[in-house]
Amino acid sequence: MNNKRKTKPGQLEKRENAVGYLFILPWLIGLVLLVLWPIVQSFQYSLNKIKLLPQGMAKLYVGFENYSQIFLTDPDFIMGLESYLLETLIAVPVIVAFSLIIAMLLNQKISCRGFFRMIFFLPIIIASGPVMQQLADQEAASIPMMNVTMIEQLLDEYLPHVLAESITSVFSNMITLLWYSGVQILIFLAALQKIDTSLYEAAKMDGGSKWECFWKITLPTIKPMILLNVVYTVIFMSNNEQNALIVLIYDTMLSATGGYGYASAMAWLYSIIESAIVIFFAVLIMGRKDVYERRAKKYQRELRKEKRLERKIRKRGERHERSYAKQKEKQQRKQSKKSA
Amino acid sequence: MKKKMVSLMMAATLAAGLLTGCGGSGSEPAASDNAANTGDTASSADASASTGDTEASGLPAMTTDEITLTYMHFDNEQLVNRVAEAFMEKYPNIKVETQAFSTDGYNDTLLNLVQSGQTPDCFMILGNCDFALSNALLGDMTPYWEADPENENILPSINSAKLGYYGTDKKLATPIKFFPDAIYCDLNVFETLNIDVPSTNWTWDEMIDSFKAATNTDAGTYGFNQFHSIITYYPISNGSNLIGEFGWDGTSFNMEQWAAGVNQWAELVNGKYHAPYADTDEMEAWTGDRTMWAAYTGKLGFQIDAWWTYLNLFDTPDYRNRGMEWVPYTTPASESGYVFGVLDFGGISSATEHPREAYELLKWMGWGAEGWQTKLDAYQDVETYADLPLYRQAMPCPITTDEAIWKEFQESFYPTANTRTYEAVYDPVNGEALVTADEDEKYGKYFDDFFANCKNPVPFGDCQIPGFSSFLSTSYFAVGDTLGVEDQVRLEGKNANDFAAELEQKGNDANQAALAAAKEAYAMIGIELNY
Repeated sequence: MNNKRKTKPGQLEKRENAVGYLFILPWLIGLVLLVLWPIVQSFQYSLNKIKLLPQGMAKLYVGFENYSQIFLTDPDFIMGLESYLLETLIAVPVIVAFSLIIAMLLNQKISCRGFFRMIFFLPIIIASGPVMQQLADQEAASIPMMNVTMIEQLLDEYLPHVLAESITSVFSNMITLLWYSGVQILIFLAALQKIDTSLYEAAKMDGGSKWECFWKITLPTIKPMILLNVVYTVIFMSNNEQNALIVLIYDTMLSATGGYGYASAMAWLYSIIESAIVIFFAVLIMGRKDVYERRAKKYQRELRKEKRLERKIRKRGERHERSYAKQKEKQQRKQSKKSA
Repeated sequence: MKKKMVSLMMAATLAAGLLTGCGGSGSEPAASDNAANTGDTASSADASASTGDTEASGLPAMTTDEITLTYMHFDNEQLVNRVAEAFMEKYPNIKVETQAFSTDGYNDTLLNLVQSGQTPDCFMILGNCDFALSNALLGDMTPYWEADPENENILPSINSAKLGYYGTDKKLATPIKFFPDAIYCDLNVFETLNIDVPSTNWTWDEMIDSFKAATNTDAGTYGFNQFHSIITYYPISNGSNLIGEFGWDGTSFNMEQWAAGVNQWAELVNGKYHAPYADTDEMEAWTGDRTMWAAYTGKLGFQIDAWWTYLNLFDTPDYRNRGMEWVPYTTPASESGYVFGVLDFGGISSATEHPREAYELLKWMGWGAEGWQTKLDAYQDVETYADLPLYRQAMPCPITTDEAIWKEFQESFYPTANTRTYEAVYDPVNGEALVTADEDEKYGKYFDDFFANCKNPVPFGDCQIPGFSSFLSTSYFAVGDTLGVEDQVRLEGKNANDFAAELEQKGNDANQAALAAAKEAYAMIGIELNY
């Protein structure tokens, strides 16, 4: 019997891949059952009129009627979408900038650093869901000494009302926004600690100020983390129980003329707007080149130019060499004819 | 080092800022309802063969088979379990499984159970009736309801205003918890101002006059503060044959009375008869504390509130020691005798296999005299519930009008001027009787009159009018930049009469749309709903 094992090239790699898939299988199953399937199901619901009878769910296919009804008969939702869009666009940079500032402060070598880190992360643990609701209801979401009415009046004079209102709502919910920063601070902190300190040392030796170091070392290095935090913040703000649209969708689910189908259509429209916000920020952040990227691109451009020139010169040299060789050959032939 | 210090200080300042919002909010009342979590009590009823009750009435006999019934509620878990045990003692062949859920997301939980095929046999619904009707959750209990002689012995408005019919020809739900609305009067304020306390059988105008009389800028008192609004009460107290908010007459809205109510309310608030709202400069100027609750100041004539506020707050040492002497008045009664109350509804499932037994269980939990006797026993059991007696946990009033039950209920927990048959319960929190002889003398007559007048309640709109919630959210409350109708009248000086016709149309349309949705759903399960 031939016991020699036959292995085809690449088989080992395939086997290793299979083991990898086996390890992530529980997550994959969870993803399919608890995320993808409900997403598909909710889209199906949004195309139906649904009755949750105790005798079983009754579906009546209505196509995109639920979607058109939202635009035709639901001013609340459309107006809610508008203000959600504006508020998120304004609040996200505030939260991310605040998180970055705090993360940088907490990254300094200060005493009680661990304590402060804990304080800033604490809201994530305690202030979720109903706790948040209670705090907001008890007017704990705004800074008491901040005169929001004055800010609103001032902004109203110079800006369109919709924009002024959105900015004011950021001010009146300032504490809530700061509470949303816990995870972002943690992510920034991790990113800041990963920056090679020799870069700062080198910059210092070249006379770089802290300000320059921030713009030219810190910020470019943590840029991917800024995008990550922006995405996290948008999703966190859009999906928490404080969000008026979530409440509206929930209420619609229980209303007489709404139901699961109609509410699902609302949820889909909402998720489209949410995704659009994420894409907007992604393009804004990743589309912008920092000073190094610009320089690197310029350098690569110059390198390519040089190579092109080099090639050109080489080709020209080769051409000249060939024509010189031809001329030489001609001359030799002439000389040999003469001598003959 | 200097930089380090600066960083340290900045981090400390921002940390303090972050915690700013955690400041306490003063003495806002926390109307504690049932702190019930998911619970599942399955009593082990011995499966002994029992003889089915052959009812003397027109009701069909109860089954003698071994069955299990489920009851879902947001009531007090301990109390419900006691009633369930008593029910199982009477019907040993029936096992009752109770499912307690908190009010937060309750209706959503019910729908989730329905979707997963676990619809309880009978259940409470929280406020909004629309989701239950448009999904045909509630079974038709008309034959049982109309054949049950005990139902003649309940709060009269349940039958006269056809509560639970929702404007249709089917009895689909019924009130199972009853909290009469109370307009609490602080006798101490009236004594301080040296003015007469109004009659307990007051009319609407007398009530308004009392609000005005109790407002005294020199003494720093305000007439009234409201948790439930006088706008809600106005149509019921002033219109004839109206049984609900916005002038609901059982089939449509009549908003004339509503408009008059809004205009009067705006006039009273703008005329400073209403106490300052919380978190305003006016509140700070009045009490020195922006977050103060007006009813805690001792300088408020009337607090319009829910029934549970009395035992939860007003009858506690904290309030009594501040000199307040709160006694309840009902909302002024209409020509038909209707007053306002909070009524929680319940029904049997349209899919239950045991509708007769589910109906009986619901009756025990809600309005039946036997169930109420069990509840009274539990409420008076201050040994088992010594830490927090059940009666302090939002105790409702009986729905049955059984005299013995009412007598025991009133005398056990509230002051009375009548000769006592029952002693007041011992209050383990205060270490003395819940009602003292002094309280009987001072407040007894107010409570006696209150209980005599409160038995004809009609509920909030969302509990009895299909489409009401949609109407409020789309047409009445603030939408985007537009203020809600009430604020437009109060703050922008508009006349509520100008809104009446349009709102009436929208309200009636929303009602018709909701009824159509309910009819469509019931048609799917073979029940013809006529309206």
